[in-house]
Amino acid sequence: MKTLNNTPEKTLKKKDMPLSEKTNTTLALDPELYPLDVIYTTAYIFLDRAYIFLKKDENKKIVVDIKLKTCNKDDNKNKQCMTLEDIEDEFKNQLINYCNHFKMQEKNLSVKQKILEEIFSSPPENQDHVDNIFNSEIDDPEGILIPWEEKYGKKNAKDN
Amino acid sequence: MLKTIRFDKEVYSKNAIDTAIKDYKSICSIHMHEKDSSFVVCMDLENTEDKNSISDEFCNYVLSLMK
Repeated sequence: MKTLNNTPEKTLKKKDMPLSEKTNTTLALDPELYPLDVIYTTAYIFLDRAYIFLKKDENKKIVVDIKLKTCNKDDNKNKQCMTLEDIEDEFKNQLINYCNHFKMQEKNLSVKQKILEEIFSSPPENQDHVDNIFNSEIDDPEGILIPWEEKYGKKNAKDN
Repeated sequence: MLKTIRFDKEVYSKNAIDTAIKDYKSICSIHMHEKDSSFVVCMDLENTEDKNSISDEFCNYVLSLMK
């Protein structure tokens, strides 16, 4: 019997295959839109589900190679198994997420620094004010601030 | 089976690759050299159990050290 070497399955190029049948895919990302730190952080959260390799192409774009890890039954139970299509879509979403996160972090940096400067550069007379607050009488009608030993006496030996 | 992986110098740091190599020394014979714009890592996977995934896991490990 003659074997058919050029079966449709064999002639079908890998890149023409539907994404769900493929085990690896690539994304070319513009580093001006997605800085390297954003790509590292995004890739990091997928390392348990896929093998990820980064490289630069001739157009200076960051190429992300995503290769699906084989999934075992236990993973399936924990809903850890994702198709390549899911991972690719999720990766794109997470890129946006982390871009936003880094932008907000940058934006809030000056505010955070100002708050820390304010705290650490407070003059010594303010310390007296803080001490006064802590040392002043606090209204405690239910006796919550009274230590257990003071309120109920020391523990008996048998309680220990 | 000798596996060669090229890590782009603009994407991966030498420190991360060095650390990963140190940690993988107990698993397989591995060394690195620099060539043009890449760090080239050669892994000898002859005596390892999982030949296919070990290099992929190594790449993932280097990437995790970049964070």
